[in-house]
Amino acid sequence: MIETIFSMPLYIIMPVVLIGYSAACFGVGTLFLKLFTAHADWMEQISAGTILATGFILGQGILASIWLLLALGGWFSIRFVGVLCFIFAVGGLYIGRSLFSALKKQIISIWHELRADTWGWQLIAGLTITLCLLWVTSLGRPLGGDGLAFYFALGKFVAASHRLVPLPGYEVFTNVGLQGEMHFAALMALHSPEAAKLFSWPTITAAGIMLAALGRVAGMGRRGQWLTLSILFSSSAVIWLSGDGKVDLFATSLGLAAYYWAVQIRFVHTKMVLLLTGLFSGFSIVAKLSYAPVMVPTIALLILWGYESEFRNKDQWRAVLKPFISGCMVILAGLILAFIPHFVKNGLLYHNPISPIGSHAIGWLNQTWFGPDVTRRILLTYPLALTYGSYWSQYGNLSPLILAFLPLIFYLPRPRPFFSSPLVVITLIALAGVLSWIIYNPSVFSPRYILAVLLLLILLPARAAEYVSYYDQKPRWLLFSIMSATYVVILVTGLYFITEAFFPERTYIYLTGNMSECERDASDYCEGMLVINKVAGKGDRVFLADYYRYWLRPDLIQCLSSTREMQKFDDLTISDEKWRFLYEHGFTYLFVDKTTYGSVIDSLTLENPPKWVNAKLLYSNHNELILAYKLKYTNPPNLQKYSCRQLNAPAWDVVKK
Amino acid sequence: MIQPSLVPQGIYSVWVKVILSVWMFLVVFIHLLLFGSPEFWLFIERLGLLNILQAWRSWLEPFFTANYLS
Repeated sequence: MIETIFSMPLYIIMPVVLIGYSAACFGVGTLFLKLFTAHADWMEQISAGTILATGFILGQGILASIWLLLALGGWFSIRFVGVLCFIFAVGGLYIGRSLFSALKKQIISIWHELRADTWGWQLIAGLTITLCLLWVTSLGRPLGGDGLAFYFALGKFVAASHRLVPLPGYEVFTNVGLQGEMHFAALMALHSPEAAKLFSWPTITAAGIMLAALGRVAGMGRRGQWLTLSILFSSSAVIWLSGDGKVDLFATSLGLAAYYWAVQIRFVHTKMVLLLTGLFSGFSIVAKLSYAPVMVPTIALLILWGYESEFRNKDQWRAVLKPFISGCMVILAGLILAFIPHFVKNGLLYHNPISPIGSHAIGWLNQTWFGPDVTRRILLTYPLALTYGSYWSQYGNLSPLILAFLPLIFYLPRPRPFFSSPLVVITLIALAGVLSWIIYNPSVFSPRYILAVLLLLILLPARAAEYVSYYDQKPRWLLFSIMSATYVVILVTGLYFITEAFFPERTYIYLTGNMSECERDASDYCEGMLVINKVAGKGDRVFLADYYRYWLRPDLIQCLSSTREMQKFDDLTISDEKWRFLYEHGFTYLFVDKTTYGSVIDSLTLENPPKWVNAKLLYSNHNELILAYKLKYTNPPNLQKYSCRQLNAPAWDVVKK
Repeated sequence: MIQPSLVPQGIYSVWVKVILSVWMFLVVFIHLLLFGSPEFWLFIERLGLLNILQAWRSWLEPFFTANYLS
């Protein structure tokens, strides 16, 4: 039955799984919101779109935690995942049905407002929506980089084995928070790696709604919100994360939701708002640990701002202290609640709940990317570097519209009192967040590491441009410049990424089943691994001297060489010892990327192996840098000690013979 | 919201508008130089400005690039 459903054409199954899974996320989040806000009048002041996006993002956080606990227990089967998704999706749609009618009214109202505006603003809205819709075509984008090495590979690994254990070759790195990875795993368990690839699209759309909602809180009108979305979707730091298998956007949407609800504390101190602030902050830090040094101080400042008006009255501050402390406790409870599944995972797998802190594997947290001179140059040119930078591993910039509209802030009337303005405070919080990062890790320059806080910087220039658009007097050169700059940037961004991240034609070919995964990814690694997949028996062991592993068969990924085995292999100095090691550990295939692991091939002297070894070349790419071998052993000098077996089906384990 | 009449009239002067418009043009122009699509460069080539703009680009790029551990 299940196989029949999943054997439907890709263009049917992918959207069904993506929409169904998004509905499940929305369902979990809405269920949670309804449980805590049964009679909350203040929720009526918040737009349906914002509540819907909140529900969806909250559901992402909760669902990933549920999947994590299921996978730790070894129950991550399609039966559990599918049934839970179905229940959550149906339940959420039923509970949130009134939200959808409110959303329909909101969309109609936005449409009427847009029709009443000039054609120039209609064009900006149209171009922004087009740019947002172009994300769908990132399905045809070749997978590459970290997604292939870890994030997507872990999803495949968990979906196939029904359990979560450290990924062979990345045992240490599996101690990171696994928010995005668990969604990938769930979507792969539902037989749709394509939906996993595209799940960043509803995620960034929800993040965009939260950012626009923050803009509304900051006094923005509809034009400002359209400009906010134009800037968001023309930021290459956002677009580069579309369909590449990385997980940074999950932290971004959770982080923006955290900022939205933290700002709400200023207006309402209900337990729900406080709990949501804590939960979203916690989930976003779990999703991207680099958010911790930025989120913690900025959310703390927003909480203080939330209670500032009460504290201002010096006669009352003692009376306010109690609700303030209890409010902080609720936020802390939400934060801890979000962290618990992560702590459980690290406690079970690493015997250290707060790993990587306190473990020997903390190295990746203390990175240095550049020397003092380059770091100084980046710091001195920060706004320019964020707009024009192409530094190593930077992976995109903020939209140039932020820098272009920035001087327009001098047109904005000075709010009185200054620090009561949400726009002022949100911008100062964003700057404080950037400063925290600069102090914490100045040489690591990559917008995706702190994307949520950086995106807050969009609001002030967007509001300023909106203000000028209303009040510019003849000759209206500023209005003309604002609109021209927006058109040019959106168009150029769209055209630039048509060949980099958006692939409409390839998406069509792929969806209609006329292109394989390997053809889409146009990768020699994929071709080499595909050769091994075809000839290898179940549970054969591959000695992988390469970063990437996603394309290997699921059982082969589970039986791969571990980091410890790689280290032991490296420690051996004599070629004969290395061959004996490979035989003892049961490796019958060798996959080497000579550009990064050339020493493996050199140390094995493959052109002249021992007599008892037969290394048959299965695959070599055109420049002989990616190589796959089949290893055969005749009368080996020692006994094989390890093999890969299916002890707890469907999982495979490397065991001693 | 404060009415425009309450905003200092000086900042609505034509000169300020010219400076701000030039700024916006400049920011977007540098973006095009560094991240322009192939269509943009084709357009520049047709205008006969390819060599000069590519020279500007090669002058600008080093300010915003660096390799790992450099």
